[in-house]
Amino acid sequence: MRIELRGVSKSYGAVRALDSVDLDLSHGITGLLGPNGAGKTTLMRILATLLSPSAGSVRVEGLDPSKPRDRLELRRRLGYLPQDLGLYPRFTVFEFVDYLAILKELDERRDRHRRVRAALAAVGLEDVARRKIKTLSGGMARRVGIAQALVADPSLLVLDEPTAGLDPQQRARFRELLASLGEGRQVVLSTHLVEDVAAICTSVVVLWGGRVAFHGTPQDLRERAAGRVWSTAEPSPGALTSWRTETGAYRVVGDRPAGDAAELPPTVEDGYLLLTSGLGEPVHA
Amino acid sequence: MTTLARFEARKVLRNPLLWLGAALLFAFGVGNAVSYWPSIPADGEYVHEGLVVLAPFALLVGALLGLRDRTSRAESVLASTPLVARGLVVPARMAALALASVGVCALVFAATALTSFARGGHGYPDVFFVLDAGLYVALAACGGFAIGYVSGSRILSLLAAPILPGMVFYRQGSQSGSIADPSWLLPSPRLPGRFGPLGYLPDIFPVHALYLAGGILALIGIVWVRAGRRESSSAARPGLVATVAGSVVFLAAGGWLAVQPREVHVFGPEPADWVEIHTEADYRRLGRARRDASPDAGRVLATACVETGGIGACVFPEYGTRLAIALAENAAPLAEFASLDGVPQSIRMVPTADHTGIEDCAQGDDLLVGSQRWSVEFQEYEPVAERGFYCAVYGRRQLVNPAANALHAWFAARVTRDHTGREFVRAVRQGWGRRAAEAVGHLADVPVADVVDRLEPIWDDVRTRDASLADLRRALGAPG
Repeated sequence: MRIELRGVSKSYGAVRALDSVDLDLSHGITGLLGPNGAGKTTLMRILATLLSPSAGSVRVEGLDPSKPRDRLELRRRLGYLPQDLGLYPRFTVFEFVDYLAILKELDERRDRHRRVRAALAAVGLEDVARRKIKTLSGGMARRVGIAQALVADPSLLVLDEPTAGLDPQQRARFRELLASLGEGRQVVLSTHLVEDVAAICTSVVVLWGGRVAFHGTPQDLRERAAGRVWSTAEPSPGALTSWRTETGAYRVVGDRPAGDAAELPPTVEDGYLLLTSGLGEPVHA
Repeated sequence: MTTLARFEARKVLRNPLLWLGAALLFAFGVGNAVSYWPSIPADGEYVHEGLVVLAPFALLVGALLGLRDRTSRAESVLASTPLVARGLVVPARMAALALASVGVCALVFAATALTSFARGGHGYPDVFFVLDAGLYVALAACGGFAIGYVSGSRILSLLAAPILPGMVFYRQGSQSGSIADPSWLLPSPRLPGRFGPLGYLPDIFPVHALYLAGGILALIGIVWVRAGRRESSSAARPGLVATVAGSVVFLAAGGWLAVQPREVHVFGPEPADWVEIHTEADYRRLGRARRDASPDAGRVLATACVETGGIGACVFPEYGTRLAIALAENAAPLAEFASLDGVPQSIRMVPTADHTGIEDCAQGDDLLVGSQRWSVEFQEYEPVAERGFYCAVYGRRQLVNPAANALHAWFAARVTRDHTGREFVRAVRQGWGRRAAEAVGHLADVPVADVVDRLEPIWDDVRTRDASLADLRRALGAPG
């Protein structure tokens, strides 16, 4: 599945959430990184056909979401997890996912129920299928949201903050799941957690002030910090950022600190920090 | 869409609010019918009168469904689905609501009919009547959905639940009586005249059901257009078609209903024998023209007959012989007066109701009972026997005669259980004076067989209003 965005802008009154975004995404898992207000959720909602851009064009596998027929076709191929996920508290877990499966035109009951059970098993909720949603923890509710996104076996998955509220074990399991889902389909996920992107994404997009500040692989982002990550015994006031690690030494990102400093292998997070620190404050036109 | 509608209907049917309303309606219907059993033709009417109990619950259930996406913040996750893109979620939900409401309502009618049947009833279903009641509840549910969906306000929905059905109920009970009275246009109209096997007259329910169905379709269409327009004009188009089609049906049926008469009085089985009442003037004209006419003009329609205790009773076959037996048993005290001229020894049901200005007294040897009136009232305050004796002593002229008054009062005291003899004598004294009370009191002291023997010489005078209280007292051998 190929996603093309050309000059996509989106404004809410005087606030420009997206500003002339050009992107080409193909098979694999794309992570959207950026601070709050960078335009991640707006971009996700445009991809999920919930918002129309104020300017520019969007094509998903050649389909134009601004055309009703294409939008319908796109929704048939789409699984979407919104950031502000709302569920029906009086439904059971099974009922809710089943309900969304019906809305995704899975009419044949036996097949639909099989898919619901598979989706719940994929997110580890098969044991609570009969529980009311109002009795679930936040993490479990999030997993219900992921299950509904998966239930119709979509070729495009748009996941807005999928790991928010998940505990470390659940996040690890979700990464495994997502890695397997990424084969043969397009997954776009937004997150604040750089380690998620580093772990599973095949490409990264960094949004800053509504613009694309970076688009490449996680390795590319990591390489941006090559030769700029150090270990020192003392804090380095001039560094972009530094913090004390569990060994007692300081990890410094930026120019080589004064005194003894050993170069460290960079991480994706180091690359992200370096990238965004050089961009200044986000500006919303 | 069908799958979604089925799913939603199942959810609606699991809503305890709807079943609470249904249980209250059932209790209302059965509770109302208890004192009238076997009130065969009226079972459904008791439920119909109680629809005001179920409608608010249906409206609330609809409103909660209309609000569901908004209150749960699930709009985003639903909005990305193909069925929403096709604009089908709202009509599917409203259709589910309508079907579930009709189903629940029909179930309450069936449960009430079964309960009545177990108590000796022998009713016959009026499909359109039941359908119409169900559609009213469906309209309430769909109206609730529209309020919840469009306003998004829980408070408004909660307020609308009792207020809107309450307004219909109030309007139903406060008809103006003028020809412009729009009571047939109410979603739950006042009941037309009931004529047992002849059905409702004017028979509005088939068209009224169509009227409601058109209204529901139009309402669904309007909300459908609103929901579909968010997606595309093509998603809204079927809603527009539904709105137009529903409105046409609604207006056409409403136009027909608006010109229907307020009442139809039946003087025979053929429509040519029926008289429509549109205005008060029609009513007065009918009263003058039919003052002494027999309501069934010699036609014999009551063919389910029994004889018990010397009294025969014939009712319409649709009522079953159970009602005939009940009528004959109720009239049994008349058998002791068989030797007196004009005391009916048989009862015959005729196709008319009350409020016609026609006395349903004896025609020949028969006491005539109207199908509506007697089916619901005879067990309560006006026993058939008392009515028969009344007809015998007063005839059709109803001229005041103290001797007849005393005899009627005495007989009424015997066959009703509303008063003790002492209370009754006191009431007669207050109403008709001391001498009438003494006569009644004396009658009560004489065995019935002796009363009949002693009445025979003056009976014709009593009926022609020539006998005085003194004549009566003398005939009974009262002192003074």
